[in-house]
Parts: sequence; C-alpha cells; structure tokens
Amino acid sequence: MSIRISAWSAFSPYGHGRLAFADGVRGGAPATPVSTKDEWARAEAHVVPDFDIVEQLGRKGTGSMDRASALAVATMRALQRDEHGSVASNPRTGVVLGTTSGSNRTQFEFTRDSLTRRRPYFVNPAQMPFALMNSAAAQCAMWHGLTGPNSTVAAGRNSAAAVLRYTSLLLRTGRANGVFAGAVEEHSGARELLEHGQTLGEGCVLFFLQTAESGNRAALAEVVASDTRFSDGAPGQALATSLRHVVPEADEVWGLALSAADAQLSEVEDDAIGEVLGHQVGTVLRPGRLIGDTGAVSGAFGLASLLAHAETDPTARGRLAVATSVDRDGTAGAIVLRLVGSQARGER
Amino acid sequence: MSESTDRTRNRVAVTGLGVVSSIGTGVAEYAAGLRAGRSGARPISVFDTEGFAHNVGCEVVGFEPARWITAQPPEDLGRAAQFSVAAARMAMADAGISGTGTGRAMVCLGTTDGGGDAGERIAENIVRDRGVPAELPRRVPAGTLPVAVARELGLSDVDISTVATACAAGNYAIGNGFDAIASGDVDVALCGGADAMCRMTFTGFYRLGAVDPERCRPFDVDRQGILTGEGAGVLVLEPLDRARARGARIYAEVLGYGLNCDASHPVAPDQDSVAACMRLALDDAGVTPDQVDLISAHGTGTKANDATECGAIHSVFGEVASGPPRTVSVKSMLGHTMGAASALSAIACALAIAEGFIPPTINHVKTDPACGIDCVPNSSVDADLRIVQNNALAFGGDNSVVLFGRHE
Repeated sequence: MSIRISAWSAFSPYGHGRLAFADGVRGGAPATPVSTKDEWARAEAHVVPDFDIVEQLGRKGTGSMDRASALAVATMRALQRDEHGSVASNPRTGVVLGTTSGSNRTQFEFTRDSLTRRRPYFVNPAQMPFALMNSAAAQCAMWHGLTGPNSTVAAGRNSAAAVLRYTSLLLRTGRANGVFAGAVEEHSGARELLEHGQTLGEGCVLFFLQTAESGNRAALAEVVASDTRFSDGAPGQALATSLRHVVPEADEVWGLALSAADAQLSEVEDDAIGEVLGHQVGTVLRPGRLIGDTGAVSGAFGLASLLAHAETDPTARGRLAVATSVDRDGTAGAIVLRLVGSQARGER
Repeated sequence: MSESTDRTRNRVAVTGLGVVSSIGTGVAEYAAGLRAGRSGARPISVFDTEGFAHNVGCEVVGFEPARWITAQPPEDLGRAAQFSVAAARMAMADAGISGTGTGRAMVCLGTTDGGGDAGERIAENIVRDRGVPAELPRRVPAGTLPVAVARELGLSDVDISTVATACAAGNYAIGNGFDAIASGDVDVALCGGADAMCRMTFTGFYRLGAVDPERCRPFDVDRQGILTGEGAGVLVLEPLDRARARGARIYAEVLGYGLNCDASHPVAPDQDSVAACMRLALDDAGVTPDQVDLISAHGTGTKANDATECGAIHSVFGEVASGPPRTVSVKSMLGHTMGAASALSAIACALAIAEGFIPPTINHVKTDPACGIDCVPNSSVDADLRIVQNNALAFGGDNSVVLFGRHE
C-alpha cells in the first residue's frame, strides 16, 4: 500500500509558511540568529521571526498556550490554506507530531510558580494541559476539528523517522485515512538548559499523508521507507544498518538531507552515509547548518529541504530522497522518499 | 475501511508481563495485590509537599534500581526510565525470551511526563540560584525510557519509540505494538507505559480541586478526585502462531483497539467521543457489546471523568439486555499512574482473563447514580472472563480503548 505526501508547510527561522522556508534553503544562506534572554538562560538562537502567539492566533484559547502548540496550530493553518498543496480532512483524519519533551518553558514556569508563590498550589491551572507533551497535537485537533487518531511521538532528533513509521502504520491499517504528520520544537531558555554546545533553532514542519487508495490526489512523494534503529553508544552503526535496510539502490538516490547540527554528530552521520551510499550523491543538504539544532524537527526540516530543492530540479523526478538522523544515545533514523512530481504542476 | 474486515493480520498474543507498582513489583505480587484489593496510598516522599493541606499519593517504595539495571549506570536514568527497565526485564523473563535472537523487535512505551521530574529539579536549582547537576539534563527527554530498555536488554534490530499521549499513553503504546505485530513488521513488541511521581502533576490536579485528600474512590458518590501515582507496566506481544510454536504461556490475546480525539476541550472529556472510541475498538476487534464481560475503566475518581465515562459506557452498552458489563477501576488501588495507568490496567485485564477473577474497585461506599454501574466494590470476585475492555482517556481528548480476549 503506497503512502504519499501530498502537501507540506513549515514555520521556520526563515519565516512563516512553505515559501519562506523553501526560498531560504534553496538560497543556502543561514537564517540570522538573534539574542534571546529569559529568566532561565540567554543565548543566540535561530527563532521563528515575528511569531507572537496572540497576533497569530487571536486571544481566544491562547492565554496560557505554549509556543510549540502555537507554532503547530499556525503551521497547520498555513498548510490547509496553501493552494499549492492537496489536503483533505474528514472525521478520520489524524495528527501525529514529534517532540523531545514538550514545552520545557511551560513546565519550568509551572514548577517555578509552585516553588516561589505564597502557597505551592498557587499555579495557573490553565497552563497544565500546555505543559504536557501531547499539547501541540491536541491543539491542532481542537483548532482544526480533527477527530481521528491523535498521537505524539517523543523521539527527539529521530522524530521524523519515528513519526513517519508510526503514521504509515496508522494509514496501512486503516485507522486513519489521512494524517497531518510532522514535528515541533520551541526555543526557550529552559531548552537551552537541557542542550549544550550548538546554536539552537526552532520551528514546525507538517506534511499531509494519505494512502494512494484514499484519494487520487496530487502527490509530491511516496514514502518508500521509514526506519529507526539503535546501537548502544554507536549511532553511526545504527544509521549504517538502517540505510542498508531501507535504500534499495544507491544509484537511485538523488538527494540526501543530514540532520545533525553539531560537529561531532555531523561527522558520525557523514561517515555512516559514506560507508553505505558512497560519496556520489549530488544533492546533499544540511539544514542544521542554516537554522540551528531544531531538535525534534531536524529530520522534518531535512525532508522539507529535499522537497523544496526537488521542486526546482527536474533531475529529481522519479528518484529517491533520503533523510537521516542520529542522536548521541545510539539511536538513528532514515526516511526514503520517491519523488513523484511537483504539486505546482497540478497533476490532479 | 474497518480493520475488522481485514482478516489477513496476525493474531497477537500477550506472553509476558512486567510490573512496578505501589501495590507490588513483579507480576505475581501485582496479581496478589489486585486480588486482595490492596491500596498503594501513602504519604508522598519523592518531592516536598510542605504547604499542601494533604499529601497522599501512590508511591512506589523499596524500589532497588541496581537490582534491574546492570548494563548502564542507574544514576544516568531518571526514575521513570528506571521503572521502565525493571518492568521490561521482568516482562521478558516472564515471557521466557532473551534479548538476543528476538528477530526484529519493538520497544514502544507511553508516558505523560517522561523525565519531567528531572526537569523540575533543574528548574528548582535555577530558582534557588544553585548549579544544575550535569546528569539531570540528559534524564529529561522522554525518549530515554525505551532507549534505556533497549540498552539493558541488548536489543539492536529494534524500533524504539515513546508515545507521549498523556494519561492514555499506555494504551496507545499497546495499540502501536499490536499493529506492528499484526502487520508482520516486528516479531516481538515490548509495550506499555511508565511515569514517575512529579510535583507538576500533583500540584496541577490539586489546584483543580481534583486530588482526593485520603483515598481514591472511583464511581463513589463522595469521590473527590485522583491520587497521583507512579510505576511501570510492560507487556510482551508476539504473533500468536509464534507464541504457540514455542510453547509460550499465553495470558490473553489482544483482539483490537480504537483511537480517536475529542478535538473539543483540553481537559474535559467528551461523552460522545469516548463512546465513539469504544465502538471503534469493538469494531476493530470484531466484538459486539454483549460479548464484553468486563470493563477496566479509566476511572480516575474525579467527578467529571467517572460520570462522563460511565455515560459513554451506558450509551454503547445500553442495548445489552443484562446492562453494561461490570466496570472496575484499578486506580482505586494504584492511584493515577499517568502514562503507566492504562498499561497497568491492561496487565490487570490480562491477569483477570488468565486467572479468572475481577479486581475490585476499593474504597467504595455508595455508587454514584450518575455512574450507575456495578464496580465490584471492595472485594475481588472469581469470574470466567472471555473478553475484557480497557479504557483510557487523556487530557487533550486523546482516547484509546483496547480489547483483550481469552486464548482458547
């Protein structure tokens, strides 16, 4: 059963919506980092510019909303409004989002209030659902009336592969007939405390996925494989195993997107890919060098980068695009897409 | 398309169970606790409860990480990850499977807070102008739970994931494991859920007036809310044919499940949507309402949950001549163990089927007419159970219902 991506959108350090990201990655100039500072930390970071929650979504239901949920809701709105794409939702349409550990800022603020106010229970109860990891996916469902399966997969930097694997299973088993799948990560001082070294980024990417059977719709790409592996302390080995498993022919690979943003992981990822696929692939994208370490969204930004480049490269058509990820704990992921065509050509 | 029309999928057996809970660690102790109607309620010690008018929770006491965690330094892991490793090791031993030679495996765990307790300690250190101990940040990501399990069990050809769908996460993970086995993607799945007690959950529910001062009393007319709890439950799932071929003990079959989302309110459950989820699960399992012998309810003990959930049960099972099946809440004993809750409840379902008893709803005095179900008050009863339904509801409107059946 073939599973297809028929549309995508993103809120990224390049700006709001698909075009901003596509233009940014095709241009190849890094997004501009800004100085951020809150009660937890100060840091240079690649944030989504001009993203104020109330300005974006209005006052209703946003008073305690976390930034990650707002980014997801806004990205979904952009995806549904994007004429370029092909999106059709109904009562069995689901949402599957990747995360690392939800909105750290909301969690930290809730804890701070409990520890510093006159009574330990003088906290804002409205904040509680937004402190949970499933908040962004649940908010997407609420704002857009999606009553199908609604799931959050916390796989950190391997979220794209884990989310697409999970989503494919929902579609193959008929539990959902369309899924908004992707990942979201917000920047905050709280997240700075949990990561170290590299410049952090943030954003959200969403894809719309369907089985080929559930609608004769324009497709950008077919999901050939999504795979996650583990090799204790050796993410490179895990990635090599995964690539051997999921890439049928190295010759067929048109483009690669590597997701690691820091030097050490980048080297591990490079080596594993070189070992399995050689060094012949012409298009090699590294969005982490442009928009920072976007954590759970890094793999999804890789996929989006591949789709953006494929749109303007006629040699991509019919060939494979591979997005990879590795994390320090020994986990790795790989996604293989077959590039079907471009929505822009209106194959309906 | 309804999955119930698809009979090409593998049947799925439950062949191993692992438990860390406030009423007993290990499947035998847990089963004994369920039968006896044991309560895990005690004063909370894992975080400072000064300033709260009451501090009862269902904490795991006497847990010895070093007994279970040998392939990695226990201090590298948060409490929920430690519970996960312990429960997974017990489940694999119970199933009689070693880590190597499993074929393609899956570890899929559900959690509400993941390493959130470590995040709280980081926030506290900052608030109190202290340094952050280096080991705390790496305990925070929820993905550390299944990774710790895979590392401990020496699994390599393994799909690892954490399903973070709040209080229904255990059932989500079991559903994902079920699909992976049923479709032939993997040969063995370790799935379930884990959470450690944390200040945030206690404080949040307390602030909402939804923590009972003394005991958790689901469906009771005087119920006052949840008790926060902790623990882990892991189930080993295998293709039924494979389990039979190796002569494994089969506790139960997973017959099917349903998932949906209320898409309406962040914290209040929606009766029609919960009912719809039960119907999805029954349909997926190829079961009619009259065939269900027992429901292990989400049954948190809050005013809103129990009335709404029972309303949904009445709407789905209303046409059954004998009325809805007996409906119990193991949270009366375990408290609300968050991401572990529906996994521990699922294990109770499997044990109930295999051992022929119904765990009681303890602390029960008078059933709320708004609930109107037989909750098997206070004492377990012997029962011949063929089909058991496990409900889970979550903040965010994420519902999941799993159906278990006796292996004939």
